[in-house]
Amino acid sequence: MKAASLVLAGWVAFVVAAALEALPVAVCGAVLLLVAAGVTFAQERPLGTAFRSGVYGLHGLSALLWVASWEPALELFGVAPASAAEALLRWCGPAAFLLSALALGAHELRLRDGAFAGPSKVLRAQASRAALRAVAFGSLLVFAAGVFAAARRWEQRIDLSYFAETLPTEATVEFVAALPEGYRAVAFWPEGHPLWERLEPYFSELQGPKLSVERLDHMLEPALVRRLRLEGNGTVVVFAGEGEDAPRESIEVGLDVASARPRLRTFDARFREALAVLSTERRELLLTVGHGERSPSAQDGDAGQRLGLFHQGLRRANVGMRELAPERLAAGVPASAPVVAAVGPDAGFSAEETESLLRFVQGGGRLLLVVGSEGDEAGIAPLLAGLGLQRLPGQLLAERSHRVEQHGAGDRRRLLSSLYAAHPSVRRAHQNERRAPAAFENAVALAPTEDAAPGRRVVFPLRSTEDVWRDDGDGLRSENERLEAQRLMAAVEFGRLGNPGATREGRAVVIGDAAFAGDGLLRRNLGNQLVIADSLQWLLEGVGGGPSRRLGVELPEEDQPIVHSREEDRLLFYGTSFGAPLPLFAIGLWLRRRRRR
Amino acid sequence: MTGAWLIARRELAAYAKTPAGYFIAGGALVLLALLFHGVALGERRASTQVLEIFLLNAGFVVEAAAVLLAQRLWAREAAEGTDALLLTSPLSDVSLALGKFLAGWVFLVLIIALSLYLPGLIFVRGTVSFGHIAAGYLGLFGVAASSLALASLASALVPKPFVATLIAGGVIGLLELGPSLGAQSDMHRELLQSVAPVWSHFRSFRRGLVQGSDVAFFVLLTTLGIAGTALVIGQRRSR
Repeated sequence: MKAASLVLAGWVAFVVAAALEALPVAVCGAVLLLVAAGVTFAQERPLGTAFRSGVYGLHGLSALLWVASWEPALELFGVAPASAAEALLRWCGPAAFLLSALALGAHELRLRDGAFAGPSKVLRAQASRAALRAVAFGSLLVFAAGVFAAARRWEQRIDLSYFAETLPTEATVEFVAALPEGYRAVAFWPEGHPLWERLEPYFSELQGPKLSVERLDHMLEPALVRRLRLEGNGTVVVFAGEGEDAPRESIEVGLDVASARPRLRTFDARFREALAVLSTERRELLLTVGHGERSPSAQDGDAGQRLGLFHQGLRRANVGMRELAPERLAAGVPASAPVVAAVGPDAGFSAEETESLLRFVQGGGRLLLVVGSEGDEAGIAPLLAGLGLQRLPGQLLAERSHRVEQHGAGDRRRLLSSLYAAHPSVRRAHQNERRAPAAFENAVALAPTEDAAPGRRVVFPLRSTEDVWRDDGDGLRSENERLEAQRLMAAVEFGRLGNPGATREGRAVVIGDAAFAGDGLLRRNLGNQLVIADSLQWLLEGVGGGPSRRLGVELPEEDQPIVHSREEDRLLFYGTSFGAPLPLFAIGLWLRRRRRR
Repeated sequence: MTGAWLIARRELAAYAKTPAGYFIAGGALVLLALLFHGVALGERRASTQVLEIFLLNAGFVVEAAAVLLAQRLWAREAAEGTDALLLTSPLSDVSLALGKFLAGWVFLVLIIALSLYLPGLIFVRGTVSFGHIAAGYLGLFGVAASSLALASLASALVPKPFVATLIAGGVIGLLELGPSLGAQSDMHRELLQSVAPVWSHFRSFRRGLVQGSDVAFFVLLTTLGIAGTALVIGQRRSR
């Protein structure tokens, strides 16, 4: 039997043994290789050369060494896990097998080239050199594996991702600047901890006369830790004043860098929330219920129906949300409530409720009204009329300025617009208009009524693009359905001059889409977040104790979904897929033509 | 090194003067753009997610481009009989192998660099950090280098371009399957999970991390590929 066949059979046995994790099969493979060595020795002996049989012999022995490094063999021989002997076997066994296999393969392949002429001295010398070169390559391979293993153990990394450096947002910087002096932030991490190194630049930006920052190690401050009831490092505690008994809020971050990444992304919002809780008097927003409104609970209904994110944004600004039942509303909005919000009241309001709401706003109250094209016209129209507004009939559809979700005609109702006016109710949205278009699901056009109440001022801070029409329900644009810019949002002010007895001016924001503040649109559209935050900021201005606080739902620093309209889709697709590579094809074709000439 | 640079310059000049180089570059860009739009314009995803998925797809496209490009380096020259000039030149085996590799790698780097406008589109409506893009592209250069080195070895071993392409593609495909195979095997799990260039070692670059072990992997795999190619060239010269 030829030695090469025995070697091949041995290698097959090893592959099978590795696949089946069967030690006996591996031992059979090693035995076959040793037998091959013996056969080679017998063949070479008459010629008096030892190199070839030496290579075979080493290969057989290395196979045994490799088998000895397998776990079942280690257990059989009682080699302790994680011992030096185990480590040596795990490295040397496979390395020796690999080197000898490469040498053997190179040697035999070179010999085969001269098989017709018979093995001459020159050919044998060349085969030996080939084997040595293969050993050199194999050594490089083993060295590379060792370097790689060392690199994994040493493991250094540089984080260049978006959230690598946690820095405060503009909202937080302004928030801190408006604080009274004496606030303190104590971060509990050991010195040099990677998470503290990540947060240190954040606090350096905020540190100043209003906010002092200190880092302490949990292990070195047992008394303080006991008083604060902290379990360990990885927490930031914010104090509103000196002394450990000052009111405080804790923010958990953690100690493991990988698992702390999601918490680092929201750290700024949570830090601002903690400051808001400590620095502002708690204010309240009353949410009307009982008229088919969107649910304040995050569990109910689909994403478009839930107001989970809306609620979360208010909480971070220390604004509580309470329900306002129909009976209570009809009797009159409680005097303590600065803001009332009605989000998607499909069933409309009764005459008493409408009267109550209008009296509230005209007397200096603040109202957020989010209505769509659905709902009882008789229940909504009087309220809108009292605010100097009316809903125009027909759902708004756009020819081009709409989101693409279903790639069908149904997408036309998903309007996009970043045509913000310079009004405080859309201030940050206006500043970020390029990347924060407001998204609508079923928008309705608003318009001013013709009657003018004394002291009432109506502006429209958000309009649609000019490719929008009011559809009659068939989804197609007919000749009498004109394309024109529509008013999507209104801001109403009732001046004190027109309302004697009012302690402040009344304000109302009306948005013409019931889904605008729902989780479905709010989660994925920065424009909606900013409009809601700015509107509530404007409505809460001058209401409640403490300096005016910036409301923050997740602001630009958070990773936002990419939203663009169908028109932009088409341009981007063709332009970048075919337009950009076109010059390369043109040059290739020109060169081809030149060659033919 | 001078010898290697001479070879590299000659090869790069050939890419610049032949239509095939431009068609390969244009085709790769079209494929990358179609994959990008398939992600960005499909479901609404966060900006970093779009970038990560684009980089993953780009990694596989670069591997495929490297395999196709490598068959031009040695196998095609052997098939056409034009490799005699190289094999009889006074340059060392390592210079020849390194020079050919450098030419192919620089060409791939140029194609990858030309595709930078695609992640740039994310800034139209989203935002990512330049560092994240830089880390991702550094990883792509590493994928290009390691794939090209392995494919170059296959190309030097087998004088038939089509067979060389199949072998190179097969080897790289098997490496990429390593993690899946490792999930089935307890004994060799760690080893198998650490051999895939794109699935395992490009992952950190896609997330904006430059990890020492991953850089070491690409450098070492490239070195092995070039060393192996030099070895094979040496064998062929000694015949």
